[in-house]
Amino acid sequence: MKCNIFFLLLLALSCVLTLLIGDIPFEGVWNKTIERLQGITAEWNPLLDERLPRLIILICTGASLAVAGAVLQSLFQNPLASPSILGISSGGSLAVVLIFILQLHLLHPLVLPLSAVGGSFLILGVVYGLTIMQGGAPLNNLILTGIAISTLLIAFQSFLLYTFRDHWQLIQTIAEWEVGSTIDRSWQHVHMQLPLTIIGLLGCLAYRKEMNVMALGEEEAKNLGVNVEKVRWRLFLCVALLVGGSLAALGMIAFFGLVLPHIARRLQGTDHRKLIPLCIVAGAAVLTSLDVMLRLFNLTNLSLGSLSAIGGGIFFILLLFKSQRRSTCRI
Amino acid sequence: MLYILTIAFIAGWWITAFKTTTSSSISVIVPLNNLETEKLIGYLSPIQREALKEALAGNTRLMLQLINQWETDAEALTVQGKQNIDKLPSDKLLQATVIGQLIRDSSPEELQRINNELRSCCVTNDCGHSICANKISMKLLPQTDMTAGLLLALCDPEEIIALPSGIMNSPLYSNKKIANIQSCASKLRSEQLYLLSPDIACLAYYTHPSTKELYSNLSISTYTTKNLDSIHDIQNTLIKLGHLSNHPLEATLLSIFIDSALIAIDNRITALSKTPALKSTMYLYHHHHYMVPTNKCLSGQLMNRAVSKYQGLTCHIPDHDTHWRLPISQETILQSNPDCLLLASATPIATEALKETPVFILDEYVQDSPNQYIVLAYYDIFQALAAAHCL
Repeated sequence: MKCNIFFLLLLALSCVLTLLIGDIPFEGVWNKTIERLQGITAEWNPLLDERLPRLIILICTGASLAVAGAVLQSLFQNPLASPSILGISSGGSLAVVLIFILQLHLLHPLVLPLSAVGGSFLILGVVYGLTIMQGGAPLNNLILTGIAISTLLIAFQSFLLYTFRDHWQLIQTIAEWEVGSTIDRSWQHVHMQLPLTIIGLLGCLAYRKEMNVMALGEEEAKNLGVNVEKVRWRLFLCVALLVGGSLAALGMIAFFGLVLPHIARRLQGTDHRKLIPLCIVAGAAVLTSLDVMLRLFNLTNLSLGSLSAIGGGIFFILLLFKSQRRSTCRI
Repeated sequence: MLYILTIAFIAGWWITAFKTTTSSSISVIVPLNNLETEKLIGYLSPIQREALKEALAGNTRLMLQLINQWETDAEALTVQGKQNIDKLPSDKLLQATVIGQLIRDSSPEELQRINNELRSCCVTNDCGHSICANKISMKLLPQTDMTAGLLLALCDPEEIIALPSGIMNSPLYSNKKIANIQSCASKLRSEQLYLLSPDIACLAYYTHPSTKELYSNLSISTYTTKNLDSIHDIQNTLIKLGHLSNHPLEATLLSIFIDSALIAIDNRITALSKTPALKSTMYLYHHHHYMVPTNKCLSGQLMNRAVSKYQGLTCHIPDHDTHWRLPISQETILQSNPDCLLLASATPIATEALKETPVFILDEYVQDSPNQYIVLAYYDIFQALAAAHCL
C-alpha cells in the first residue's frame, strides 16, 4: 500500500513538472491555453499540443512496458523474461526499420504504428505457429523458438543497416528512432498508442486471477479450470499490443520491461491482482520522472531509451549482487 | 466476437483521429527550385546554381569568368551606394587571373610540368605526419566523401582509382567523371589494392587501424584528414591535396573561387537587407525529430555568416564545442517565432507549431558537404532568405 502511494505521488509530481517545465514560461502558456479553451484562438499551444501529449505518451509507454514485462515474467515463470524474449520487440523494430528504408512513413502517419504493431503480431504468430508445429506450445519450446526468431530478426536488421550504411540520412533517422526520444511528440503519437494501450492493459487486468493460478504450474491451472492455452494466447496478444504501441510512439526503451516488474514484484509480492496495477502506476511514474530528469538537467546527450538502459543495467547488476549475498549468508 | 470488437475499436479510433489530424498540420512549404530571386537585384549578374555547381566541379574557365563577373558586381553595388560591400583582395584576384590564363593557355603536358615545378612535394597531414609525393602523375585513392569531392574537382578521372560509394551514387557530382572511375573504394580488397597500387590513399582519422596497417604493408602512403570544421579547413585541405596530387594551380584557383563565391553571395545578402523585411529566421534539420545546427557545424557557421550580412536578422544557432547538432522542441521553435524556417531535410516535414510560417526545404546532402560544395549550401541559404524577403 505504501509503495502504491509512493508511486502515485511520484507520478503526480512528475506529471505536474512535465506540464510546468518548458522553454516558454508557464504563465504565458497558461494564458494562451485559456484563450484556446475558450475558442478565442486556434494557435498551436505548448501545453495542449506538446507537453500534454508527451505526458500521455510517457504514461502509456511506462505502464505498457512494465505490464508487458510482468505478464511475460509471470507466464514464463522466469524473472529474466521481457518483451524481447518472444521476438515481439525485435519484430516491431524490424518492421519499423523496413518502413524507414522504403520511406513508407512519409505516406501517412498511421504507417509507422501499423508496421510496429503488425511486426510484433506477425512475429508472435510465427513463434506461436512454429511452437505448435513442434507439438503443442510448452513454455520451454516457446522461449527457445522466441530466442531463435529474435536472433534471426536482429541479424537481418544488422544486415539491412550494413547494406544501407552509406545512406546516412536513413541511418540517422533509424538511430534517432531507436534511442527512444520524447522530442516532438504530438497528438498523432497519442492516437497511435492510446487505443492499443487501453486494450492491452484492459486485457492484462482482466486475466489477473488466471495469471495467479497459472503461476502454480500449467497442470495445476488446468485442474483448477483455467483454459491455459486461450489465456496465454490472449495475454501474448495484449503484450504485442502494448509493445507495438510503445515502439510506435517512443521507439526502443531498453531494459524497462525487464527491471521494473522486478522492482514491483519485490515491493508488492507475486499476487497479480495487486502487481499489475502497481506496474501500471510505477511504470508510468518512473518513465515520466526519467523524462523530467532529462529536461531539468538539460541532458542533451542522453535519450530516454539510453537513460533507461543505463539505469536499468546498473540496477540489475546491484540486484544480482544483493541476491548473491543473501544466498551466501543463508549457506 | 471479442476479437472483432477489439479490432473495430482500434481501427475506429485511428480512422477518426487520422482523418482529422493529417489535413490540419501542413505548413507553407516552398520548394527552392521554383524561386527566381535574382530579379530582386536586377542590376547584378545572376548566379545560376548549375553554373556554380559546374565551376565547383573543376571548370577553371567558368571559375575565372565568374570571379571577374562578381568583381564587376561588387563595383556596381559600390556605385549604387551600398555600404559594407566586400571584394576579393587584389592580390588574390591577380593570382586567380594569372593561374586561369596559365591553365587555359597550357597544353596538359605543359601544365603538368609547371604544376610539378610549383608543388611542394611534402605536405603535413591533419595528424602532423609528413607525406612526400614526387611523381608527376599520381594514382589516388580517396576513402572519404570529403577528399573524393575535392580530388574530383582537381584531377582527371584516370588519376583516381576508386571512389567511396556515397559519391558514386550522389547527384552532386559529374556523371561523366564518375563513369570513368569504376571501382568502389569500400569494396576494394587487399589483392585488388595491390594490383591497382595507388600512390596515396586519403583516409579519415577514424579509419580502422587494420586498414591503416594494410596500406602500410602495401607501401601505400596515407594522407589522414580530421573533421573539416570550417571553410578555412576545407581550403587548407584543398591546397594540401593539390600539392600531393600535382595540381597546385587548380587547387589555388578553386580556393580563391570559394572565397570569391562566398563574397558574391555575402554582397547580395547585404544588398537585400537595405530594405529589411525579415527579423528572425531558424535553420533546422529533421530526420525523426528536429535538430538545430550549432556553431561547430558548417551550416551553423554559414547561417551565422548570412545573418551577420542581413541587417537586424537573428537566427538561433547555439554555441557548442563538441556537438554539431542539438535536439530542439517545437516549443523552442515557437518561442523563437521565426519569419521563415530553413529546413534541411530529405523530405518536406512541416511543423505543427508554425503552421503559417513559410518553410524552405534545403538539400541536406548539399548542406552537409564538407568540401567545396559548401558554397552551394550557402547559395541555397541565400535563395531561401531572398525568397522569404519577398514574401
